[in-house]
Amino acid sequence: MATSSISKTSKIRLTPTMRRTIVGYIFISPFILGFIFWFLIPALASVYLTFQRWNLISPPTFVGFDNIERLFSDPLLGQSLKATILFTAFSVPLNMALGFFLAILINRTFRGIAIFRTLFYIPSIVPAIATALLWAWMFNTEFGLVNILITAFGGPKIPWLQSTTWAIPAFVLLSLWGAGSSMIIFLAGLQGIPDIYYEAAEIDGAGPWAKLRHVTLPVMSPIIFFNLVLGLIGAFQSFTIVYLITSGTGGPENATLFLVLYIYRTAFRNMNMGYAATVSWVLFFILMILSGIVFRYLGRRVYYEHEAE
Amino acid sequence: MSTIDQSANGTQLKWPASKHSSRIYFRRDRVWKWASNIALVIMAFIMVAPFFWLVSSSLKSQIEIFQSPPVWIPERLHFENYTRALTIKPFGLYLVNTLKIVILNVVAVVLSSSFAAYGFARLNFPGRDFWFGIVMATLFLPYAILIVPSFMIFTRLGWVDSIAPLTVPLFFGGGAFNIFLLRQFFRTIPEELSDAARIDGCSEFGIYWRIIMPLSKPALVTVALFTFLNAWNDLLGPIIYLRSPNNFTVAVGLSSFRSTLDVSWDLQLAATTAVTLPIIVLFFFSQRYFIRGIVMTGLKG
Amino acid sequence: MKQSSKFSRRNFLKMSGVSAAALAASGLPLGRSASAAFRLQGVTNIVFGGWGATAEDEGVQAAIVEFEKQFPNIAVEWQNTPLASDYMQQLLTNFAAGTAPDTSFITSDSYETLAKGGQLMDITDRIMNDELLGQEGYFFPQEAVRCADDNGRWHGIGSTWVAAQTYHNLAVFDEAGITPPGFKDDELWDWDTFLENADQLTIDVNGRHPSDSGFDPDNVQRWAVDWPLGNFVLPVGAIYSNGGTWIDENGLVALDSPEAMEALQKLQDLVYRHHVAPRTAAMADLGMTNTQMVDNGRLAMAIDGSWALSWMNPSTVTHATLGTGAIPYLKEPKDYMQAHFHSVINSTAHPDEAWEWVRFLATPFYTLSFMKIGLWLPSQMSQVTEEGLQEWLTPGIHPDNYADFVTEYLPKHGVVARIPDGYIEADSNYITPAIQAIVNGTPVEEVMPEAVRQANEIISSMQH
Repeated sequence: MATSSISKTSKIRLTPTMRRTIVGYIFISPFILGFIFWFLIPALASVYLTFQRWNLISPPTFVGFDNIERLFSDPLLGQSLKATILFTAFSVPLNMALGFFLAILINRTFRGIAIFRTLFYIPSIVPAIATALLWAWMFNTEFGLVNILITAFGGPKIPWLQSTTWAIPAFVLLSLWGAGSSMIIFLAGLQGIPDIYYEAAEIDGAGPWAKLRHVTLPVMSPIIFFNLVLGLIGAFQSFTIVYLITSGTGGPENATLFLVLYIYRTAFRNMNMGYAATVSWVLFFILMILSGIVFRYLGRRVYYEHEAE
Repeated sequence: MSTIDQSANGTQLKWPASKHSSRIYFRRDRVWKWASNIALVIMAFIMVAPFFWLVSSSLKSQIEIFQSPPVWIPERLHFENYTRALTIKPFGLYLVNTLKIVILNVVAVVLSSSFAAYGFARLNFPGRDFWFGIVMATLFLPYAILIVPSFMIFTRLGWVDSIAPLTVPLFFGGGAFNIFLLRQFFRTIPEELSDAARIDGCSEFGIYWRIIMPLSKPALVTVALFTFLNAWNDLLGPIIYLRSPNNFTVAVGLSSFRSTLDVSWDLQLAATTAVTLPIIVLFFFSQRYFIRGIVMTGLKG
Repeated sequence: MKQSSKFSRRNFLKMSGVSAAALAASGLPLGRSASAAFRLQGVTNIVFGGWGATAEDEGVQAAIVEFEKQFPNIAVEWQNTPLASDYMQQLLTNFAAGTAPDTSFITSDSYETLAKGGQLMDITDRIMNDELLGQEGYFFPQEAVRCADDNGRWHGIGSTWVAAQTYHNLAVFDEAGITPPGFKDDELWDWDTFLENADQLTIDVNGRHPSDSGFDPDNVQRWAVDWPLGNFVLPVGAIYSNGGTWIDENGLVALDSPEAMEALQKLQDLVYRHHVAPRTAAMADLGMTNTQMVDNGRLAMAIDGSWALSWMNPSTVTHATLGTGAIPYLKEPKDYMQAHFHSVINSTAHPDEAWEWVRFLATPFYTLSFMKIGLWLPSQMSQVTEEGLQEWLTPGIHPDNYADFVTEYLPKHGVVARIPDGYIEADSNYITPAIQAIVNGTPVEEVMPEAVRQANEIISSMQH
């Protein structure tokens, strides 16, 4: 279908630019349509909802800036931001560090390395619902593996999922189990580093540590950057596992009420679509600002590296 | 960053590029080597421990599961936990439903995202960068904003309680991340191949289908696998859009275990293992392509 | 005040007598109403949405078979979601999309919202004109209090009650020489009796009671009681029994009243001060429900919902002899009763057939199967007469004194509440977290007043 339209257009004499434009747009047209239908229109509807009160049941009523005003006096939004930021601030760097560490460990060739790669990667592809069930059991205070190990080393039994202090650390720990996804991207980067860089470093007498610092890290900066951006977006939108483990409550005492969970709960449990839409724009702007900062601060260095190639 | 300077970096296409470097790396420092071997084994234990605990618990009796000190390997393997867990709900039916969705998703995403990615990676036309910017922007858009309005649209279309809302949208673009991934990969394929084909009178569609696609198998496998995982693991979509129990997916079936009172831990964990196993098997067989695919997409720019 | 309070025993007997007599006189087969005069060509399909585990699922399916026998021209399609919260979410999105079922379960906390929003059919006239349901005293008197809105209009009917009760291990009580509480007025425990007995029933590994010196609260062999706060049906009774209310006459949360806070504090004290109850978190982690712990003697008694009888007594493991009784009271005996509603959804294209089905759900056939397994308590007076009781009380499920619960205790001491629009949001945002804090040991006075203030702000904002 696409072929015929392309050949037809080429029969009518078109300037090369026009022709290229038409062909190009044919290729990206499914995306554009999808963008309009499944992103633009819903997003505009979401803007509209920001100025409405709508409980899904009665027709929406216009409430002006009520929802936006509520943002500034809503203690739960503060709590929710706190939980999300705390989780992101610990889980993203730790995840990247662990992912990087694992990637270096498996960036070797010997028989059986594929087994290690698979072992490290698989936790990050386990269905979220399975991860949730498994870790709810792992964190069981009396019979969970985590506490069994901690007490075996003389530590205390920690009430992971019942205590406001430990709930976020529990989710950070859980997220580390999925470090395989950043590992695999780091591995991709490590394998792309030309050998000559290391050879040159060795001639200069660099040991493993120096090579890591002066060769690997700088060359890897674009990938670190990429993982950072993906990690931030992912962590800020954490939902499924916390939803499943806390049965949608974000408990204990709203300690794990991540933003998306708060949005979801406000919309579908509390039947407050207007306010849910408003909070989701808060999330949107945070992500925009955050990625803006990341791109501005780190983007230049990444670009520089690429130019140097 | 033009396509040309990217494709010039042909070294990325050679697979085990690090072989040489790692050899030198380790010859020089045995301590380093042994330290990393030990670290490798320790990390493997840590990552596998939860799986071990999962499988071991799933084979325990009700009594063993709550024993202190813990039972590491059950005295008798209670495989009946699996038969019980998988017959409480019609998991066979759920599996068929899930596979329908998964297969359609994989087909949709591979075709649709590669099609768009070809446009972004291999063609030059006004507005391209603007639209690619849009692709990247949708990566940042919290999907939570879209849940309610999308639901409204799908109901207007009369698609609720069918798999259409979970499959049809993917034929339109196939997801920003996949477009991005494939675009990166397509850019590493030398432009000369396309030019030669154009001289032979091949249309752009022909180049896409006969040259780029066959050369991109690892990347396509990667995208397919990601899509498979997403569809297999998706919970929110099926919960919102599927109404009749006859349409439920495996994930929905499993999630109902979480708070149903008549299902205990041993059964929950047995079902969890059963749902996870296909993923592990699938990954095991495709991991060679998969990792290569990620490596070769050259996420460097 | 939006709750019913006292019903004297005499009144109660009179009413149940009346309804039983009326039933007998009417001679109607219970499932068939006079309004079933219409007969359409072909079969009308009615969709019925609801939630529930295996027991509910089977009960509804059995009811459908029976209903379709009586009404061959109506076919009921049952759409079951395991969890109530998931189901309500689906229902809401269905309302938004105009794809709601014809008839549905409705949770107590969304009933007012949905009724106010015009989603539930006004079935007042249909009930009043119904030969069976319209009879004086057909339902428990509390039914009207929670079904009817401010104008006396009904938008749904309950088919059951659930309420908090105690479950006790009789062997443990025998051994300690303590008579467990029952349901009759002279068998109830006031708070002092409760605390005194609880102290006696609790022993640490050295056989000491909490009031003994040297008692080791970290190594308790057996606790006296577990009174969970997490499921709010369970602590609300104590609040009412102390003269407090959950929801006041203005439809606002009143958990910050001195009476309500005192009651909650006393419940918390059982764990942290008197050491006669385990911490909820610790117990969940033992992997046992409190009823299981009663079963194996780790717990002398548990306060749980009446529904727990369905998995408690017919437990597959060997179990101790189980006793049941009323919850201990503070100032005067009170227990909170609750139930989901069955409603016709206003958007249905077949209001008559839909009503016929909802009506059927409020007749004995449907409820019997649930009552027999111990999941539900009756909500129809004909089921608590001498003859009515015989229909559902099941040896091996219901302990001997269980009839007293529904004939004496609940009619007299049962209270209900109308849960206002906005409560769900107020609860999930503020009340539930406050309760969690209390469970974790935070004094009630530190969290409740602020939580209630926030909660009522949300509820008030819904009222205009």
